[in-house]
Amino acid sequence: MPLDYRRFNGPEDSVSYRRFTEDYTKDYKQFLDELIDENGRRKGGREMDEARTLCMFFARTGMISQAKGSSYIELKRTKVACSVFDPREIVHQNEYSTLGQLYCEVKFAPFSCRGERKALVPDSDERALSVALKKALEPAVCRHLFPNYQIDIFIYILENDGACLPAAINAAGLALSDAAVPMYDIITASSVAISGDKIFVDPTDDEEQLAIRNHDGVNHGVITMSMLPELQQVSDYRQIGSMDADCVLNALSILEKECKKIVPYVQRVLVQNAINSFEQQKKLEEEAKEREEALNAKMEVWKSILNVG
Amino acid sequence: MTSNTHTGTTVTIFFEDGRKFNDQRDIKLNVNAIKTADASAVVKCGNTTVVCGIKLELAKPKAEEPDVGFLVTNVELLPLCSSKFRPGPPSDHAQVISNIVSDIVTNSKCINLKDLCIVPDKLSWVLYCDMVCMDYDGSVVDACLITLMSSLKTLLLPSVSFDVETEEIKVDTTIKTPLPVNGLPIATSFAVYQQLSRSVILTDPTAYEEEMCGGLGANLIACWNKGQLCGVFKFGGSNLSTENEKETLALAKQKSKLVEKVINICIENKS
Amino acid sequence: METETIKEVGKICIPGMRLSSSDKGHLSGPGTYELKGYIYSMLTGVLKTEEDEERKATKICVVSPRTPSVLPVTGDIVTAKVTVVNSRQVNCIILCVGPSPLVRPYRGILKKEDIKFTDKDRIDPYKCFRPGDIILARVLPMTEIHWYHLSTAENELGVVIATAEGSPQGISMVPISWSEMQCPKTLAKEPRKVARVIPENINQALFPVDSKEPQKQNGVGNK
Repeated sequence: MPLDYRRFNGPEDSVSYRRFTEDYTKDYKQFLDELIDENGRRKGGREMDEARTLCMFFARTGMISQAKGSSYIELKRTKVACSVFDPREIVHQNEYSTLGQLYCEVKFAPFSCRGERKALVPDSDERALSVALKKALEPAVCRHLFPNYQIDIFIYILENDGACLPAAINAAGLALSDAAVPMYDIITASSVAISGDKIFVDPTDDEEQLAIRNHDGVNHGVITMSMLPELQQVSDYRQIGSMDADCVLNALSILEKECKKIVPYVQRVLVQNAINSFEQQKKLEEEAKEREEALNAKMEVWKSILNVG
Repeated sequence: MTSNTHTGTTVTIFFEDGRKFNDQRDIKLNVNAIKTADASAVVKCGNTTVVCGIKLELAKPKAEEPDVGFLVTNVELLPLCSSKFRPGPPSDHAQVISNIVSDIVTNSKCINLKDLCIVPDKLSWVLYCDMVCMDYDGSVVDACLITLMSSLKTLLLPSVSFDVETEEIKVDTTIKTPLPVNGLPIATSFAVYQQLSRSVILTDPTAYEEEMCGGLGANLIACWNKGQLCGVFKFGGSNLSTENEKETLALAKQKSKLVEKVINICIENKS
Repeated sequence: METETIKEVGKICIPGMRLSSSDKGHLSGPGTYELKGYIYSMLTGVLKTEEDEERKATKICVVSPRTPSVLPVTGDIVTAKVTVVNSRQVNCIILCVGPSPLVRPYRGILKKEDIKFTDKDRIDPYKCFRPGDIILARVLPMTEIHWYHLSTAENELGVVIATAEGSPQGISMVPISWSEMQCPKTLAKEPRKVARVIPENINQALFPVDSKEPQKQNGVGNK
């Protein structure tokens, strides 16, 4: 890899210390045993089909004051921040297009993954997630309202504990709505990890790794789906790994249910956000009025002084 | 929100968020929120938010300095944190900030790099400290240093055994020792605004205030460490009288003491 | 407590919320869209209904607390600042669309023949605009990327705020005729394409809220 001259670099041959710990050499069986206890529950006490409750901390622009709209989502340990900016010119474009474009960028923090430190230059993983996010969001945004312009959507993953694409899509949907970008519908997303006969809903990083590492020739993989709930549309579907048709259909119905479960959470956040914004607006207006009154009073004083003089 | 009240006149900026010229914004600090990092801290100074995460790695020390480890600090100004930054390689401004932070940390000698060496000429720790700005609202250097120092103070190094003959490395994560940190460099940013003949000095400026005082970033950054000055940077802007300079340095010293207290209390409460 | 504040603010809508059926009695206004016979919200905001006198229908609108990320649309009245004037066209940057300011400035072009609707061949852009003038203009259909074509070929459109050459900053000229303005301080007269601003009905005349109406007016402007 070429050296990055714009940043400080460490020694080239450095490796994470985790490579020398005992955890690193575990095989598939040990991995599985650790994730599921004897009662069939997952590590952390969740049922197989139980999603991490969305404990969203959705701060309007309080999260990112410089952005038009922003959001922050936490799924237990997966932490994602998103900001959306106003439409801007597309720099290298020579053709007229009737639809506006979305520019999505997903970035992992260097310290977001458990294993190796992520490089600061964008890698293929991030690019793939960016494209997936863009494709998932495009059907939800009224793109005909800003022809020849693009809206920037930036996602930053502070900590990755699985299901980061669905978290990114959910965050982006909230941020877009917060930025008052016209949208056809709210967007929700969810994912499942499949390993053999086990289906993990809303998987953690370990469970995702397990599903991808399973090479026994049986069903394995990760499926992510995003939906526009009111319009009953699937905006994006993404499957990694191989599985038979029955398994896919089963997973689809689970995902659909999961996407619908998230809707009330998203609605609540949006309504709360709207109330807060209106309250803030009212306060600002009051302040402006006060300031104007003060200025007018001062004007009067000056006027009287001038008249006397 | 402050950004909604901009009227474009120079008078309002001083009272933009109701602060006096030398008031600083509230600081909120949280340590070890990110479990995937070996140590981490999040700081919020007003709206400015910086997250620092430390990743530990092992490497062979440099041949010319066999008993010295590595401390790599980088500051990332994400396109997410302000519309001023575009995606792609770091801008000049980001590199300047990165450089200032790295300069302050290395020159303040708060981390003895010899402590990072495990076996001379064979094995040493590499501390990758990445500071990412999540919300750019001025005085980033101050926030970066606060997160960096809080993360370093909470960092625990796992014990490593190194077999000199077989060169086998074993890491035991159950036994951990804290990294010795001596000193606590704290920076304070100022913006100098030339108003007719005298200049007005704003402590802990917001992004808008920085912009009004000429260009990206603060005009003046002063850094104190253990009652000693360990770096003063002045970038363009208007000239500064001797009294003003004295005043700013005193303010910076006062602030450094306060922030030190904040960091210590926060770490104590966590552990 | 929460329900009280909701009552105070009004009916809150979120994107994708079905607001009403789309029929003769209900029209889709700003912040909403029509699909398969229904009107849906496309913003997070508060529901507002307006009575459309002409069509005898209720217009359904959603008003966002934030300035919506909407760009100038054909037929909109925009406020722009003149940057460059040459013999063929006037370049400007668009600052506001209707009553709402834009966060990013967008570029606009005012071609020579779109300045007035009489004497088209004898128009001299230098005698109509100067750099720094604040003008009102209407957006023409978009044909080029990155440039909005504008027109001031209406009595109500043209220069609103201008400072005479050599006058101190902040002193704007007063219109004395449809083609001349005068500085109140230096009494210098300068030629401009003056907009006839009527403060009372400016909102009704220039900022039609219906999205379909402006195109009709735009046709008038092009004559």
